Amino acid sequence: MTQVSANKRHQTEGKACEGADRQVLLSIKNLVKDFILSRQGLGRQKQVLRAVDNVSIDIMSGETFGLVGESGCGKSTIARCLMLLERPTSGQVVFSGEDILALSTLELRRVRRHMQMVFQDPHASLDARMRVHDIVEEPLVIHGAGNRNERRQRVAEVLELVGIDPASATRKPHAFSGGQAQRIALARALVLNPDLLILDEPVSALDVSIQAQVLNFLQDIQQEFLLTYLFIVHDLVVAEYFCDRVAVLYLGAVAELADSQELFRNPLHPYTVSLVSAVPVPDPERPRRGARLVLSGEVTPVGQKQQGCRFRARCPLGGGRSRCLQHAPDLREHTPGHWVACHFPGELRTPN
Amino acid sequence: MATEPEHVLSVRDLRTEFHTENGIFPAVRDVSLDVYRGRQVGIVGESGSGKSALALSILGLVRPPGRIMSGQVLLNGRDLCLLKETQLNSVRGREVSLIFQDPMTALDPVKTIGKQICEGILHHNRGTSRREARRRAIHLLEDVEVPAAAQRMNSYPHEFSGGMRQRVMIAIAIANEPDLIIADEPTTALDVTTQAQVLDIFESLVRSRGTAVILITHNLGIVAEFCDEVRVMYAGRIVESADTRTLFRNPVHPYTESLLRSVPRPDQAHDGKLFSIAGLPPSLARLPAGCSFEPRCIAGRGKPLCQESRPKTTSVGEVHASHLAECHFARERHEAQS
Repeated sequence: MTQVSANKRHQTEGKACEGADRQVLLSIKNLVKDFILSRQGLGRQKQVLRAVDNVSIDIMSGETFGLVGESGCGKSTIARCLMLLERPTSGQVVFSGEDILALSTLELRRVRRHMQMVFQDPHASLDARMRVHDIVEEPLVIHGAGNRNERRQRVAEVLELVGIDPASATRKPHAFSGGQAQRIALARALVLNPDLLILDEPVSALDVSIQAQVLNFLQDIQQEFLLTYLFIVHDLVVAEYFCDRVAVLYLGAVAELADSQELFRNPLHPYTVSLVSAVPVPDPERPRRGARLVLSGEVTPVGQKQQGCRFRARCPLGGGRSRCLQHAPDLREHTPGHWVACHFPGELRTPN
Repeated sequence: MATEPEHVLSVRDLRTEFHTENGIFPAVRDVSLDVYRGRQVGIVGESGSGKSALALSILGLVRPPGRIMSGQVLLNGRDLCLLKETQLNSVRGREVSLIFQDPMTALDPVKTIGKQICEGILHHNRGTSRREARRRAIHLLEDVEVPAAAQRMNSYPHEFSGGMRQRVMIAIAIANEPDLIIADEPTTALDVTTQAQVLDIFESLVRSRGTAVILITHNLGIVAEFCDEVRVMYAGRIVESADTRTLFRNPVHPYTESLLRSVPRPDQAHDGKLFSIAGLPPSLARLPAGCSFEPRCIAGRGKPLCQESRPKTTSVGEVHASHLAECHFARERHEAQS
């Protein structure tokens, strides 16, 4: 198993260098999502929170793409926009060459079976009153796949794949532990044989030992079914371990995007540098990667648009230079494949 | 014996059970635990291993259907299990205080922050004037680095962010300079950068005051950075205890070893799989006859000894009781490492 897995990593690393032979499966173009906070009172100006601000990301077929950032940075909103659980304010979501925002409801259903989502808390995302069999079968029913017998067979097949005894499928979700319930949620997502799985913090609610089981399993089925993952995670260590490429979000925009190892070993954006230095390392002999660089303040999702760099108020570089004050930095390719939105990339290094 | 470190807390054979319709759940099974003055002790384990039940038992906060069945909780030499509720109230907050995971449920939403900090000060210090309490409260908020402390005294908890609320919880916990603070997953709800801020503040405050801390967490990274000693809990028992370096370098109990190996590490080689512990923790209502970790164990699974008899606590350290593990193969495993 280890051998196979090592090969896979090898291939994906190759891909990061070559880039050309892989196809774009999902392309997010200039995605914007505004939430209207309050509009009580006639004539009062409405307050708008821009949760996702002009995000563009291409996800390659077969890769694991990570979205990381602190709570409120917009990572879950992006996922919800992709599944059209939220209607984006503007922008495009192109899946296998089709702009899904332009599709009719019927056409959308056809595309949707190729993209599925798994949520953070399995006990909240599985209907507590349905039997596990019915939960996993439901997508097949909705998409009119097969007859009753074929569906039953498929459900048993998928449950077995995720390591749940099909004989226990008459039980309801509460009879299963968190790790098992997350496998059931995965079975529901996999039953239609999708191309893309959007995983929103799928292991955050699980204990470390169970987390390892689920991550290993996700790796296995990715190879077996050639799945593409969009992996939303706040745990940077998991992101570094599990993802091929990672985008760091700050207040709804991409601050930095690169190959996972490159991003965590050679962060260029001061926000990424401070995130990486804040992660507690489970090794008392070698505490932290360098000294901790504590950011002042907290993420403040401001309603009104401020001028200049969105990170400047918390920036360890001070953010007081005129370029930081006046212009929001664009996301630029600093070195091949390594994108960063900072006027002074690489100026702040991980402290040693 | 003069060099013997001073005990703040000494828990002896503490047993807490929850009696429910579905059976008896011994959440804490005859646990002994020593905490010395000024030491930071981490308790790690999976959910359901009894970490929080142990903390609540120490503070006498176990509520029905839970009950402390036997054992002693000696805080500064006095057995808290024998105290009445009114006596406990004068101990809690003054000698020992608790920081919860979720400050939003621990703080009163209809009282200002200032009032809640002052309450604790006034309760334990008869004769302190309100003005004096308020002055001290502002000082405490400054200690936990809440900006514009004097103004924020009049704010309500919902006006604070998660990190700021947890700082307020710390301020309340240290208000009466207790000898021991029990922090139950204090930073789990926070983002990494906020977590780093809060832990740094907490650490400098307890170190400068010489406060002993029991830090309950499932994050091994936090234990490695913050704690002097570690206790690993599994199915209601402390299965291994050692100082932090020893535990991370030479884990003797197979559960500890598995736990450490299943965490992805930064800088780790990216090929290969994560190590994972097979199976699930046992139900406390139906514990195996032998070692409770046997069905999942990398060393003892299927061995008759492990299936049939419960392992005793074995000392493997050079100093007596410096490194304990509850495993039939503790000695062999320890020798194999060194």
